[in-house]
Amino acid sequence: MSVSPESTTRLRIENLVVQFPGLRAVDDVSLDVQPGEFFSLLGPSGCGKTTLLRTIAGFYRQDHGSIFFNEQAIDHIPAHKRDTGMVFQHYAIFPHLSVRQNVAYGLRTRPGTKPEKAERVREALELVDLEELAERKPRQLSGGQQQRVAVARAIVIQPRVLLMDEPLANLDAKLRVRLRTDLRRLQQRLGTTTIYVTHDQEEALSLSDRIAVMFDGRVHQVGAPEEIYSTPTHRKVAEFVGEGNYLPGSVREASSSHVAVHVAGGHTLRAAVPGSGLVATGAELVASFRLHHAEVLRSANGATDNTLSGTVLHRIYLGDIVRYLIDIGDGQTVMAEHYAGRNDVRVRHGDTLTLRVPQDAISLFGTDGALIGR
Amino acid sequence: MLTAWFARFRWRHFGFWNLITLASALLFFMLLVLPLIRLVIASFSPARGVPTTDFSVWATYAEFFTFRYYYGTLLNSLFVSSLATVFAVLIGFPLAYLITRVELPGKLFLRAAVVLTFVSPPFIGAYAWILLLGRNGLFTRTLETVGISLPSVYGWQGIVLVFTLQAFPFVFLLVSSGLRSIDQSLEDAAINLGQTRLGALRTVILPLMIPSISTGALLVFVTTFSDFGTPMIIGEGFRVLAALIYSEFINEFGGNPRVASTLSVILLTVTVGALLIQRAYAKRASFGQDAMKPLGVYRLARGGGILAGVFVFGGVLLALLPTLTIVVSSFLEARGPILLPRFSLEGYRLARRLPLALQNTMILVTIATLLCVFVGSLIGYVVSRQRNRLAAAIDTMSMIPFAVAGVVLGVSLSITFGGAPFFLAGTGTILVLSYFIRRLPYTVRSVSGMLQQLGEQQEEASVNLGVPPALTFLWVTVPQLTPALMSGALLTWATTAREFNSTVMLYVAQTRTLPVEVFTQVLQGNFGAASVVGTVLIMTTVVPIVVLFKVFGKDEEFLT
Ligand SMILES: Nc1ncnc2c1ncn2[C@@H]1O[C@H](COP(=O)(O)OP(=O)(O)O)[C@@H](O)[C@H]1O
Ligand SMILES: [Mg+2]
Repeated sequence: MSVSPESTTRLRIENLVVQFPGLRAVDDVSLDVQPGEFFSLLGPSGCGKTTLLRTIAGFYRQDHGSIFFNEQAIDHIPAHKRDTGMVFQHYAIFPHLSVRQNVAYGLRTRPGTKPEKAERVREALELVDLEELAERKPRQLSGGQQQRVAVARAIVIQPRVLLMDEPLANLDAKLRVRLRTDLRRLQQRLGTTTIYVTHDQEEALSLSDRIAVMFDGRVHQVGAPEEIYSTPTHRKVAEFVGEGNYLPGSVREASSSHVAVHVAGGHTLRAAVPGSGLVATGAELVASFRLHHAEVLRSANGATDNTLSGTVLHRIYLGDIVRYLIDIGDGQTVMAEHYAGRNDVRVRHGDTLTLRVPQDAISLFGTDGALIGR
Repeated sequence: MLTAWFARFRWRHFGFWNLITLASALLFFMLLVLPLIRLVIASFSPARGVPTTDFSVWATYAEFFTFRYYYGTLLNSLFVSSLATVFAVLIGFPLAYLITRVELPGKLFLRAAVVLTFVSPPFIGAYAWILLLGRNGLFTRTLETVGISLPSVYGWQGIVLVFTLQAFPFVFLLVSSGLRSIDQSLEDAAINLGQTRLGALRTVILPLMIPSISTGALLVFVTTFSDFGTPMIIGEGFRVLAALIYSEFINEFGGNPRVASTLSVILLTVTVGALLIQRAYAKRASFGQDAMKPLGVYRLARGGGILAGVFVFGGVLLALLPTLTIVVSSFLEARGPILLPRFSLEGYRLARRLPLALQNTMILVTIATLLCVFVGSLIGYVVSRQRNRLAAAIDTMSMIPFAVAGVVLGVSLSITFGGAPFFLAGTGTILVLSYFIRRLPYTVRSVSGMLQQLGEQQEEASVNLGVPPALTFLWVTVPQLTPALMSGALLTWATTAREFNSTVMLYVAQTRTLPVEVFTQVLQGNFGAASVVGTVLIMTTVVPIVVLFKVFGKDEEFLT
């Protein structure tokens, strides 16, 4: 399908606030989405992703702030004139129309001759690989097929911005992964600026050019997938994207190259964070590291610095990896994982394990959740 | 604050649907609120040309509560309607429960028979029971020959009998549909915890049925309280409020609109009061729920099974008897009020006014039905999709007709539109208006219910694809509503064709309808002719119902 000039729209959102009675669903959100970018809104359910998306589409009117397509404010444009192609979470396929009629629907009120429109519909169906099913009624389609109808219907109008609200959430896990790649390829081919809403971190990481992580109506961090994953700027972001351990502790010593943190069970973790001037000795903070960054050792022999040892409370077997829940003292537990080798000695409940955490794998968060350094 | 609101208002409120919202509000105001206001005003204003000595605004109300002639009718009405309500529940609930839960032969017949009773015209029962149990009644004379004399069917006993049999389907239908929302696991849990099946019925199912039962009871009470055809035919001197309104309004000496208005306001107060009490009560007792696996059917022990069968078939046949009587008697030779046991089609040949009445019914009812469907689906949309105060007000207003009796509506419309500047008295238009406004709430309810189920997403998808709201309604919403609208239209048609209480207040000779014609013939003692017209009327209401069941595969739950 040809790329229309409109498909290089830049979407800018300025200080957007959307309120429902007694609730700020979108709270002062500003975003700048580049032309052709695949941009994800990631956050737990109820954080306001759908509300933000629907405000862009014009179904809700914001209480404050503005939305721009390129330099044009679209705040006063009604929903049916916004030219945003939306893929709804439950697809919202018209049940009384065939697949072809569904896809052609958006062209009804648009200019063009009949053959032209038929050709565009055919192209769109081809893009999502639905030509054979064109005459079917939606009732006769599987979930994945319905999802593709919804996508074809949204792209056939060559929208300025493509809006997708958890388009894969209602599919089974295998299909979800396959359609993910299809979606990404399609978007790259069309070059349409895309806002993609999801609560699935893996989906966001694998699909997006950039991600905005949302909590309680606010955007906490915007960045490329690697950036979001490896340098979360807030504990909430870190906890939502990827798994880690969060150990409250107090600063024992802060130098220009390190911060040593006193954590539960008399352990000390040393983080490669230049701390002088940033934190004071004795200050409360949280030391954290990703599960897979820590090394699991059968015994503490030789390892002295940056280790945590304790007794195994649970062993969780997940196939390719094994996890252990370890009590490191003072009621504090940490989770550890390693790849299950073929000849692993079986660790039992009650055994002692040691975790070694590299200094540069440790991030420090303040008690308010903000990143101090990593 | 105000400017913020205004900014929102401007943005949202100039579309197609805002126009429709405004128009709907105006419509309800003109056809419902205004007439009721006029009614209340009329009850406080001395009528022109009617001599009065008391110029106090409360004069007619004071009179009402002073003279037994007046207030006695209120007591009588409360008495018969309350009795009928109690009996209707006592028959309707067990009947519904047994037919739903117990293994019985001929369930389809039973359900169909109840529906037939439900749609058969009001007061037909009264006159049929006179044919059977009256002074010259079939049963009366048969039993006299063997020396048994029955208690009189005239007076309050007859009214209660007819009301009960006419109205218990309300309870039956609501309980039947209510039972479908109860999951079998609830009964299983009760039994598992040590209850017998009867104990489970008493401790679990019955409490959950309270909203259904009370809604059914309310409908029984309101319809019987507002009906005057039956009391006038079988009451013989037992005077009820609705009948008093009729005779005060349609009076050979010109009628007294002030008295009629006063009586109407009093009747309205009772019915609205009943509605409000029931709403409050049912709300507390309501636990919105859905059945994954509906209640199952079980077999009763031998004696129990026979007893249940006798009760169920006895009740249903009793309810069906009047309708059968009318149909059979329409093929008998008639001499005035006496029917002879000889087959004859004379009645049909001689029914002079039948063609006009039939034609009027067809035309007026069809127009009203079409209006209901078109306007009702637009208003139903507004009520379920528009989120502003006006839409909420429309939602409330659309409830009012449920509590406004036909007589009261008749009086109000007549006062409001009969004279200047509308001059609709005696026209078909005023009848259409009354049918329209009476049935409109049902269409609005069913459309808004459907739309709630359908959800908004498909419409949003359409708007998102660039189709403006009005076209979206036409292209996306209407096609999905069509089956429901068609079956709704049939139901509206059937129930409007039998409308009597408001018609009789508003008709003139040229606009007489089938129910009015039956009534006139009964009052004139032409029982044969009444049966003929009655049979035609029964057919006009039964045919759409049969189509509904056969073509649309609906069952009786649909009627609720
Ligand atoms: N139409 C609405 N009216 C009132 N509250 C709403 C409405 N839609 C969503 N909300 C509330 O706004 C918050 C954000 O909802 P939503 O945007 O749907 O979250 P998400 O899509 O991220 O799961 C939730 O707390 C939700 O309950
Ligand atoms: Mg959502």
